[in-house]
Amino acid sequence: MESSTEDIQKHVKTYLMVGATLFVFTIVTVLVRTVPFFDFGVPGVDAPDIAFGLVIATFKSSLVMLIFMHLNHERGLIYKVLLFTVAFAVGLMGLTLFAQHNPILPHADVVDEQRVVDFTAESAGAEAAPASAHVEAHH
Amino acid sequence: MEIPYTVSARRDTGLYNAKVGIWLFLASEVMLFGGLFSGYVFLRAGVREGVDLPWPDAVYVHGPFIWLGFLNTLVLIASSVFVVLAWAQLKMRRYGAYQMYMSLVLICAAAFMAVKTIEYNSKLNHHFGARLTDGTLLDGALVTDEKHHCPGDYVTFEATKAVFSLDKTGVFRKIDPYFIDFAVLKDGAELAVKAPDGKEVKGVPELSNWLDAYAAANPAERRVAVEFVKPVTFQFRLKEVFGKRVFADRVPFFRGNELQGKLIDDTVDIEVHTVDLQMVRDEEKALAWSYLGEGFKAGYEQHKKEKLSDPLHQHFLEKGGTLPGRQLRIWQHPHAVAEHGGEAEHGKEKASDHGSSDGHGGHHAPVVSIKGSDISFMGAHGPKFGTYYAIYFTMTALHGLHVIGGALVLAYFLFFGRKLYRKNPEHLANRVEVGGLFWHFVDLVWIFLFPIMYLM
Amino acid sequence: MSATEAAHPGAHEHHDDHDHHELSFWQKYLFSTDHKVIGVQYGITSLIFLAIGFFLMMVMRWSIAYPDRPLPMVGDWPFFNKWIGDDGLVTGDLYNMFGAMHGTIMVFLGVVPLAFGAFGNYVTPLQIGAPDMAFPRLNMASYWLYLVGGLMMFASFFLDSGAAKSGWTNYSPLANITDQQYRDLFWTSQTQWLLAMVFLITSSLLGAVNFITTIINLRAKGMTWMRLPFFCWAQLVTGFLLLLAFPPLEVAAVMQLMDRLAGTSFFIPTGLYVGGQVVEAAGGGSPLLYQHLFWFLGHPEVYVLILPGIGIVAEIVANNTRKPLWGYKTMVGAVLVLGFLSFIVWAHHMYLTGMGTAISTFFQTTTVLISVPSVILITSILLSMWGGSIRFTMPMLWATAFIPMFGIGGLTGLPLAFNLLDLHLHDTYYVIGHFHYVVAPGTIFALFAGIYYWYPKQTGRQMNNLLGHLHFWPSLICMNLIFAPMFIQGMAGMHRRAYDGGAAYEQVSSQVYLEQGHPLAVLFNAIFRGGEALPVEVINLNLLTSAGAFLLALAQIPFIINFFMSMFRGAKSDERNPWQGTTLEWMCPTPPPHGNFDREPVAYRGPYEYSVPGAERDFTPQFEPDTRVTETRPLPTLH
Repeated sequence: MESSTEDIQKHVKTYLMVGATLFVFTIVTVLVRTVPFFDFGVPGVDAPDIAFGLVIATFKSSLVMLIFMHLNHERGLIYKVLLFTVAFAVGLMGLTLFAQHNPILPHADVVDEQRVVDFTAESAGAEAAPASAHVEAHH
Repeated sequence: MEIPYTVSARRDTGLYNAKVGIWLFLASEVMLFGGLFSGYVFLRAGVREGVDLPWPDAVYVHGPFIWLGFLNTLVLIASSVFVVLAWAQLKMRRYGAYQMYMSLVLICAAAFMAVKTIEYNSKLNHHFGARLTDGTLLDGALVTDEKHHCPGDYVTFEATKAVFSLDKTGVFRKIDPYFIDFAVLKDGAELAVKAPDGKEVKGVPELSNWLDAYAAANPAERRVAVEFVKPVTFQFRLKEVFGKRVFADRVPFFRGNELQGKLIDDTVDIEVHTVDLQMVRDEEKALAWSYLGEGFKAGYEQHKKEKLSDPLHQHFLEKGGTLPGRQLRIWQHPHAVAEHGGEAEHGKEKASDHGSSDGHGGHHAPVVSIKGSDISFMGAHGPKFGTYYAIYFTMTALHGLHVIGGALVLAYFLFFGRKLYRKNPEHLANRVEVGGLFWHFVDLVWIFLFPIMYLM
Repeated sequence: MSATEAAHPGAHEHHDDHDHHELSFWQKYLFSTDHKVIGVQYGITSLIFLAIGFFLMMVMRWSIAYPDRPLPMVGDWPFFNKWIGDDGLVTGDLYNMFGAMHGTIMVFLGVVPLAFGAFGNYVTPLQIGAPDMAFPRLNMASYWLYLVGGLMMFASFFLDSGAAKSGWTNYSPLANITDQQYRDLFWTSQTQWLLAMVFLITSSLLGAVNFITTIINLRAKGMTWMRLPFFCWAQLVTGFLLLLAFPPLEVAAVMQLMDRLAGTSFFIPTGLYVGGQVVEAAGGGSPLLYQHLFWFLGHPEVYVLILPGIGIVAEIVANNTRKPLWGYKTMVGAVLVLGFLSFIVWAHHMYLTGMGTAISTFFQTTTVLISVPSVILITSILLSMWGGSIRFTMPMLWATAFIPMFGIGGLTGLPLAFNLLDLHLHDTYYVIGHFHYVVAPGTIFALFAGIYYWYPKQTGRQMNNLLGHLHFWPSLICMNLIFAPMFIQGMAGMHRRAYDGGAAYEQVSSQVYLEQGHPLAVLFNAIFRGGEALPVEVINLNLLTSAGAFLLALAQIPFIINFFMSMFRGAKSDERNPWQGTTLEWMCPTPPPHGNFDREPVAYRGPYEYSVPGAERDFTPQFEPDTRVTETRPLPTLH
């Protein structure tokens, strides 16, 4: 990338601007979750809150990557590596979640209902939780 | 022999070696934190209602710490700006300005870790909760006093008999009646046991020797039971007990050792700040009320009623939404908030939008003495207190390690960079750029960690 | 931009003054930053670990074949004294420990360091024409971290609790709750396993970063991507697999460590009962999370094991058939697709966890898909041999044997890809047979081929041919003797974790037998029944397998003798290019000095220009200037 002093001076201004933007968006995120006036939906955490927080975080992180980490000046190689990395990370998260909550055939929930443990009877001993997972004592 | 492209970029890739290296390393770091975030999502989405501990509302858990987390976010963003400015100064060959900005980065790093320490300390040392056998969660602080020799989860047990394992599965192992060492004999009582052959053994080292001799003489025997000459009272921490569980007539220790006798006291005193009934089937008969009394029960009912009549809730209900039940079933005792809210040194206060006034009198948070048999799980708000705390501590600690590592590298560039700067300033600029890339990544992780751990 | 312009612009602007000092013995051979020395260090260390892993396996095989006979020979060693029963029999604990550690040592301390660490380190920079790795000191750190991790792993045998016993996969919650009888969980088997893994993972990550950087940035002048030898492509993809797949395992390791030491419940579900008691933990965790994180590494790891092997075989086949590699570009494409797909097939190890049919179908599809690039690779190598005048040199013998052995391993994997069949075959000997065919007669044969192939480059001497044959043929026979019966046993339902080899279920297992005419039955009867023609119960095949295992150990003796003897007595081949190869490693002096090349390496052509029509010789090395072409071809940019 460019290295003349004027160019760098220009960059320095950009860096400061980006820093200020990051500050502002951090404040927005916090306000939305702590001041009831700004809260979406029900008081407390819910799906819109989470979506909003993640969108802002993604925006902030793209700013950091593009400007601070100079990705806007890099060539294809790094993009390729990062693209695959992000794809695999998303795959790991998405597929594990998919394995846990099957959106097509959600039969797993049926199994879960049978696994309810009665806490009121827990102190009574082993027979109180008939459907909980059993593992042999291991020596 | 020289390795090419250590300083200048290769034409066709446009990168010097270290930059390729750091980006690859960051890719692997993305997978590391990607795995951790996957774990977070998996655990949070996998909470089964009524079975697993509910995922806590981070705002409620963190209370004032939100502002610490917020502060830390700003500190890290500032440090990110400083590190890129430091690099820019080097590019313009201004070493003095570089030194200044780099010092600011290090100060930010130190501030971040200091705030982190305050947070960890408060969670690990001041907050304490106990989950009762019916699912009630009593949250607050542990009370320790002169009466209890061991603070925290202690047990007092009057032993009449001890069983020692003679099991030496290994040639390298001695028989280990270790619990005799740490279990504190109450009132300085003397340890004297009657061996099976009628011989009397006095004192810990003597007992140890006798056991070894006995095991050597009776290779076929696996355990030996000895009687105390007169009942001995032991006090010890629950964590030294096998399975962290005691019984009315015996205490099992590790490796099959055991004390037999009578359980005197295993109660735990907790100053209750919050009653959480999310896991309780029948709120009317929750164990909490048997400790706290009817007055508190009335306060809880009142709190629930107020919450339900909250206009925002009403509005939401009219639009056909379902109420997040867990918020109704968490009751912050107002006096606990009033009494301790201002005490900075305890750091126990919570965000008090849950608090509402009720008719209950008294000036202190209630202190209850909970029977061991009623507790299914207890501890400080450390990593073991639930999967939320587990992932919170694991991720923030790993992130903290990254901060320390990054700061060490940048400090090296700051304090030992002059020689390289004189020789080849571009090389130092490259190094700072690479170190800076790592530092930005650390910042980037925190940009996600903060909302996920503190706000959601 | 032409190739000449793309010469190292940064090569001369910075002088590293360390290189001009005389290096001390320690710097030269122990704490060296030279990629070749580190490669040899990796090689020797991993061969030792392979031997240790093999030894563990022999003890297990004894227990499986003769569960009623005391352990011979080694039973008196103090270590075994501690773990075997009074009757001298192998105990379940010992078997579990050796089983877990056999897998761990073979995979993480044996094959991967040999294939990636040793061959990758030694050969890759030579083949791309680099003076060294991009980060020599990081390279050294990588080896030392590996050694520390390996020694920790080995030392854990001598702990009070012994070494890890929960299988090489260390599934939670079993691995979480072991060793509860010990007060100090830090100094117990599983904890030490996890800590050692953290070292090994860090070592692999550093290695991967180094390899990829080297291949991307240090290719010699003219060494364009499509002139890169296939071995380097394989190493590049392997590097990416290690780089991106290991971190989730590190996450799993950290979480399991937290579970054990900090009392968290990442992997402990609510209401878990152990020994009649609810485990004292908050609960809410998920054992499945561990499996996902583990197999996210676990499956790419399979390709980490096999890809360098395929790379070695491709080199040797091209060299010994004296023909260009058939479909080089297709192979490169296949290996890239293979690398990509290997990240999204992991849960085929988890069909039995009840993930649900939709997700199982997804993973079943990707798993079947991934067989396509694998078959392309093997087919290309096979077709390369077609019509060639093959020289059956020692490396070529191993490489040739690799193809059918890997083929068997790969094809027997297909049934396991299907959910329905896997439910039956899961955790049986069939699975063991399958992946051992891939790794043992597969990868390890390829690695032997590599040792025989590049041995002259380091020592200047050829390895002995007669001893080589004495090594090769018995190994080939024994490998099949060991693993072929496992398919039959597995399909009969024999479970892989029975320490008595299924003797406890003899009532059931004796019902399943091979007809007396079955080739394995004939073989069994000939060896163990004096030729009597009787049906053979599948459980008896254990004897055949174990006999094969012990004979395989004997078959390695010629190799050990050969390896050391040839250093001093081997036929001299001090010319630079003993195999008439075409790639750049045959251009540098033997043994290659620090810095590798005595003149600047330039690649003028593709890597496998054998038997070029009109050429004087049957090989035209990459480094030979093209006299007929006056201008060098332009050097394409990366994208």
